[in-house]
Amino acid sequence: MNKVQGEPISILLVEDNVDHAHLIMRKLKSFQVANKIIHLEDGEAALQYLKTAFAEHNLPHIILLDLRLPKVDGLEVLRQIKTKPEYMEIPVVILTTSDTETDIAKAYHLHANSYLVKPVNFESFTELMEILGFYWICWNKDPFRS
Amino acid sequence: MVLSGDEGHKKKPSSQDGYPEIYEAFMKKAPILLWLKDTKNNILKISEAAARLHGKSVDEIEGRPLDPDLVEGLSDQIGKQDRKVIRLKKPLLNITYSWVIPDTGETVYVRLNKIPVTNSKGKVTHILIYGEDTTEQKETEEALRKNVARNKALLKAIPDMIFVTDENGVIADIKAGENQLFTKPELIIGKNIRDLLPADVAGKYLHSFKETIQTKKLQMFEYLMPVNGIPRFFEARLSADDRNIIALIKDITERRSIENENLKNRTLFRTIRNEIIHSLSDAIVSSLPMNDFYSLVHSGLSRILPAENLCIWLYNEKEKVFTRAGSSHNIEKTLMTSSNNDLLRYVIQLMRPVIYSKEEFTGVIRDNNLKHEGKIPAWWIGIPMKTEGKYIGVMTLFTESAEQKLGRNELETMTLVSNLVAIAISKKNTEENLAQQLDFLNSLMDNFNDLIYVKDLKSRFMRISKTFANRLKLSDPAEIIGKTDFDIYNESHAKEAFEDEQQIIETGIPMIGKDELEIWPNGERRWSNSSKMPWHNAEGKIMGTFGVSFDITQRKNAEEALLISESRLKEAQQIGKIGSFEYNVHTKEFYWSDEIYRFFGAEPGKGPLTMDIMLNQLHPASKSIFEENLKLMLSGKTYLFKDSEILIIDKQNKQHFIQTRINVIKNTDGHVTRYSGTFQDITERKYAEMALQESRRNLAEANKMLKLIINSIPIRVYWKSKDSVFIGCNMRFAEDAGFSSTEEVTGKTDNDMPWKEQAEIYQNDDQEIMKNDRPKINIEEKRIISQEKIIWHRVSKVPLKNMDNETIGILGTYDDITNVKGKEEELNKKNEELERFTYTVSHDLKSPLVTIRGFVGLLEEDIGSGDIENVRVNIERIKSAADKMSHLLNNLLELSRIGRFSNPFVRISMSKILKDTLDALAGILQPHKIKVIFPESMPEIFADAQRMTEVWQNLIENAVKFMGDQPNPLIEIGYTSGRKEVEFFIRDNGIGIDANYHDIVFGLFNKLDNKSEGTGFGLALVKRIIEVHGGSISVESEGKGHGTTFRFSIPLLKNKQHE
Repeated sequence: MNKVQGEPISILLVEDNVDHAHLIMRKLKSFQVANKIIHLEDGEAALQYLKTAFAEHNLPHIILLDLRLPKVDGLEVLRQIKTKPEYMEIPVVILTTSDTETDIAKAYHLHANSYLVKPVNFESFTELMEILGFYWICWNKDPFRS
Repeated sequence: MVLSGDEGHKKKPSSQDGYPEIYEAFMKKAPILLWLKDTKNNILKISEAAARLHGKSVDEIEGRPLDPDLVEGLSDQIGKQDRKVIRLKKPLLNITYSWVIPDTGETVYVRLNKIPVTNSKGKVTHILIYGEDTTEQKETEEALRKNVARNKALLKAIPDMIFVTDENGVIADIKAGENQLFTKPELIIGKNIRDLLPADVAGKYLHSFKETIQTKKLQMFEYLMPVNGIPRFFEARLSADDRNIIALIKDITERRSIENENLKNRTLFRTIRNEIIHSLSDAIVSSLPMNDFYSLVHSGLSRILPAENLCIWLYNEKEKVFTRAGSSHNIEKTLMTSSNNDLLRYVIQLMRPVIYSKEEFTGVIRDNNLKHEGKIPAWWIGIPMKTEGKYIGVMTLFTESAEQKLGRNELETMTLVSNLVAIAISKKNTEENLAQQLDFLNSLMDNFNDLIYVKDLKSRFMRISKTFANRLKLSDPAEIIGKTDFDIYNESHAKEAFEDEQQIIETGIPMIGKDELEIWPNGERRWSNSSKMPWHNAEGKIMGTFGVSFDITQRKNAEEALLISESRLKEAQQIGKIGSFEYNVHTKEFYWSDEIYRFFGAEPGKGPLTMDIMLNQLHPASKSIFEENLKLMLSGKTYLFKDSEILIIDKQNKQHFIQTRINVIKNTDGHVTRYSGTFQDITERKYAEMALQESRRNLAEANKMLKLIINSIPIRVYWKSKDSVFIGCNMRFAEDAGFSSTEEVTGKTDNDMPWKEQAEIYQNDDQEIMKNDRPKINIEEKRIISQEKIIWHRVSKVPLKNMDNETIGILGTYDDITNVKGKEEELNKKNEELERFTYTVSHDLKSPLVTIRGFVGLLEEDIGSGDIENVRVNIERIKSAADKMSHLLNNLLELSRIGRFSNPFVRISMSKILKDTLDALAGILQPHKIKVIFPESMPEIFADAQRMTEVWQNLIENAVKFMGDQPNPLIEIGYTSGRKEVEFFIRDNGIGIDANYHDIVFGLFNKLDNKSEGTGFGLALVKRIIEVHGGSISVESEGKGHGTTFRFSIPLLKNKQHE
């Protein structure tokens, strides 16, 4: 396994279920794939955060987005990210419990970069978090990091 | 006077050889036209018949030049021809003249030959002119021409015009023949006959239309109508089917005029006159005493003239007085007194016959200062009598009443008879010019172009004319002497001629104008017209016969042609299956054409066609009609058959439909003289008509069936013309368009329909389909009838084509599928709901599972690492997730129950429900010091009481939940009564809802604020309950901090039997 080094990596996690957020952050932290995880509980807060982060040149490297969110729905958040030039390059990984075909189709239609379903099985959940962390943060190349 | 160089015939006449008698008979009795003229145009000799053409007596003409006024324009022509004959020394043959006889005005036709007569030095000294009256031949030719014309007319028994109309006289179609009655048939169609024809004719038509339709029988009538100002007769024949009348019109003006032609028969008059002349001629020949002769004149003429006023006056030239001839007659006693000498002398001075009406007579008396006493006659005839150049008397005739008109016939007859009287008188003194007569006879014999012969008592030739000899190829006419006809002609002709001559010798009666067929030695067939007379010696003893024979082959040919034409007429009748008949009222004789025999199954020419034979061939149904009609007709009571179509069954059991048409012919007095008519076999036409009717009936039946089908199917059908005008539709379409019958739709457009707002769209659609020839099949279209009513149609439109594949319009059908559509929409809603549910299950229910499994996993890890602190936290999380899951499951179950397991709908008081709910919620309202305002009373509705309680409970709880930090919290409840429903509302002055989230507040497990209590279930439940009650719910808020209002409606009339 390659060791991540150097610059700090930030992840924006938008998840209304605090239990799930706790699980995700604990796993990601345990694999030490990110320096910084920002957790927000609704879509409105997420969009507001991005706006501020853009102004401060502090955009997250990757966004993990749940679909069922209070106030502003996850798909709407996705649509706004992918249609605004200042955010559209940020990889957005949908991380949700829904595995309905319509949700998957809608997400990809709005240019989601990946769609992941939270496994009920804890071992699988742990494995997914490990792979997710390594793939997107260690292996995947994005415009912000050469 | 030597006329011929032939010495052999130049012998002194004597009474013994009978030449003067032959001459006299020839010149005076034979129907020969003969003139002998010198080269200076003086008439030296003229025959009696020729003199009649001049309207003068022989003596008035002989020795005088040809009257230049004889025939207008003719004398020049005659002079020219004469000079030609003299110059060329050659005969001029067969010159035809039409000749008007002076005084009588009668037109005759003559054919003449002009022969130059030369002396021994070869110089032309005289011209001999002879010939015959060809008037009869002309008449035959005329008859032939008429016959041909009639023939044509019969073959042209085609109507001049056919038109089709309805009972009211509106013309639907018209076909005009070559005899066009209207200039432009296309302008007639659609017009009423009342506007096209004179009122009386139109009235006749309209009356007959009704008759035709009522009786279903062919109607026929005739009428008179001016066409281009000329009155014309038409015959109309009408027949009708159920709706239309077919009229066949024929112009019968010509037929009428032929029928009405005056068929005055002059034959009888002429026959009697000829008999009188013959008997008088015989009396002269047999030297009857003069008094007896006069009596014969009176008795003979009394047959054809009013002879009681006839008188023969003899003139005493020395004493200049007239004496009445004869003694037994008391004639002209009223008119002629002693002073009448003046009048008679005046006639002699005139030297020509005169005829005066009353006015003319009075005028003549007055103008010439004549003494006259006694009555003025109504008509008066005076004929001067002359013999041997001297006037010997006057013959007179008068009538007292104007009705007894004297005319051409009387004048002519009197003139003829007067000549005979003059001859009789002069005969007493005949002693003169015998030599001259003989010479003339010889000249005749040498120059006459026709056949002249003299035979003895045994019919042996004594002399023949040179022409005759030439015809027989004899070099000398004398060679014939002693021979008979048997040496020349075939036996049957020779025998016939012999018998004729012997009869003349025996009886002394001449044979005039007999037509004979001669077969000459060279086999040539020629017709001749022979006249043979006896010739007597001075003692009156018959010495033999004298004959003249004209070649009439040409005329006979014409007559034969007439016969052929008549047989053609018969043929035409046979082809046209037209039979004709005539009935003569006077003779009571029927004439039936061959075709009529065939109608009645009888052989033409084999026995008479009796009434019995005819009646036996008739169908019983038509027998009585036919019999009755025939009886009526024969009794003169009717002129036409009542039923013009009769059914005849012939001996082969074949049926014939015969159309009869009978016309009546009246004489000038208006008396019926003849009936003529035609029977036409119209069987074929009849059968064709029946077949046509049958096919029309079938078509009508098929149409009826089609109409029934179109009106029975549950689909709307209509068809439009090329420019989108409705032509027809079925009943259902008419009802949709708001009409009570399909006829009302015809002629209208979409602009006249309830959907006129969309007319342009529909019409553009029509045009598009017709233009591109692309049908539109089963397209679902939304029709907005009003704001509340929307209906759905499944529409098909196809271009309508005619047989030539040309687009002539559009056919549309549609089906009301509003019900189906409603079901579909409901189904869609259910599907959406199901999807929402699935989503909920896959997301919201899985979520706690992920939590539970996740923290169990963490628990194991923490236990492994001995982190006891965390273990307790993890266990708490697990418990909490499990509880949440249980709660969710209960809610879901609850929600699914609504609509499936519901309490019965009853009449409930909303006031009571609301109050109970508020009481139950007092525990949460009071601690927050929330004020609730609601009306004293609220309407009663049909609803599930328990669910309604849940509605109010959830809405009030919701208001409390989102009251925020409002210092004066207030909940306001009220309602608005509508016509069909009641709308309730609940308003709070809490935190309000951003407009972006109005849509999702009713979604299952949707929470706007994660920090708020509840599961996002309450409003979803409320919505579900309201919908199950047939109502709807909405939310309004002016945004955050402005409070929220929920409105829901419940229908007023809800069926108790709900579900």
